[in-house]
Amino acid sequence: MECQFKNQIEPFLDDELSPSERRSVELHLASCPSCKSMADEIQAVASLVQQTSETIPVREEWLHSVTSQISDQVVQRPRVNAARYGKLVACLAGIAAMIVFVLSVDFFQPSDENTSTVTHATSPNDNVTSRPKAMDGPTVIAGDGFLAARDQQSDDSFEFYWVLPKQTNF
Amino acid sequence: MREKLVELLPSVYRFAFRLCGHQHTAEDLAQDAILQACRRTETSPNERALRIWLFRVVTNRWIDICRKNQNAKFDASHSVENVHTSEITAPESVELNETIFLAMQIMNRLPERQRTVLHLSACEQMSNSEIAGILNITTDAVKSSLSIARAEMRNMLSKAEK
Repeated sequence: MECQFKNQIEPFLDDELSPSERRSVELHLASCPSCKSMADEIQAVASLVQQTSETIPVREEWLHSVTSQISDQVVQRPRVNAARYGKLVACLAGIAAMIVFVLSVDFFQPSDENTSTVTHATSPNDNVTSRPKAMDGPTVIAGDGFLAARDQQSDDSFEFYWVLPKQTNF
Repeated sequence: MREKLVELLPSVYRFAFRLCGHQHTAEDLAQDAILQACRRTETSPNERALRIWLFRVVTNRWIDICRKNQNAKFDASHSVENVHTSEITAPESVELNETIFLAMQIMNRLPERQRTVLHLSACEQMSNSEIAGILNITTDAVKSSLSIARAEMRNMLSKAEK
């Protein structure tokens, strides 16, 4: 008659039993020579298979070749990333430089006369009437908490608003 | 990462060799998997996860090769010829060499699934669920194959002893 624990030997060796099942198989193995012999044979097979694997030779030349290829791959990766990020940073820097340049040309264009008019107003919508007709430069309106600029030379009028400190002098 | 992959090279190669039984094919399979891991892995995974992933890549690659080339199959004779049993330096080396050689021959006669399941369980200490993931089969299929392979090895070894 076959031992009822026979089917539990392999799951026991493969560590697939619950702690209580494991304990009962351990106790059984101590008292059943047949199951103990089976467990020993399975472990002997595993050990032998392990030894057969260790006898499979690995060529030294192949190991060196693949090791050097791994080094190349690992070293190359950060370089590729740096190049990618470098291009992105250069692009952003270029765009930022263009924006600064355009703004500086519009706001700080040198003129022969004092061509810009600064008018204090209470809101951006106030009409600017005090601007001398002879002056062709941009109109700048400054008030508490805003600044407006209007280019009246071209049809493409534009306006900028942003918060300023109260004591700004123009 | 580099050190981990270099350490894993022999075991990946030996697993590939168990699959195909041919040195050059095993080298190609292992090299492909290792270099794929180099390119793919952004962060450093734990060694066990990396090992499982590499074995899975090797298995899938071998399946692809077998599908494309009907002549590609396990080369048992080449596999035994390449074994370096003479390198074992145990005191009872002659007897052990014979046993290992015999075990290798028995193992090579096993069907591919049983052979690879036994290798992963005995040599790589993989759990049944991990083996199932690598070979893309169910855990029950792993248990069944492992049980048959063990029984076959035990029977053949005990016959040889008699």
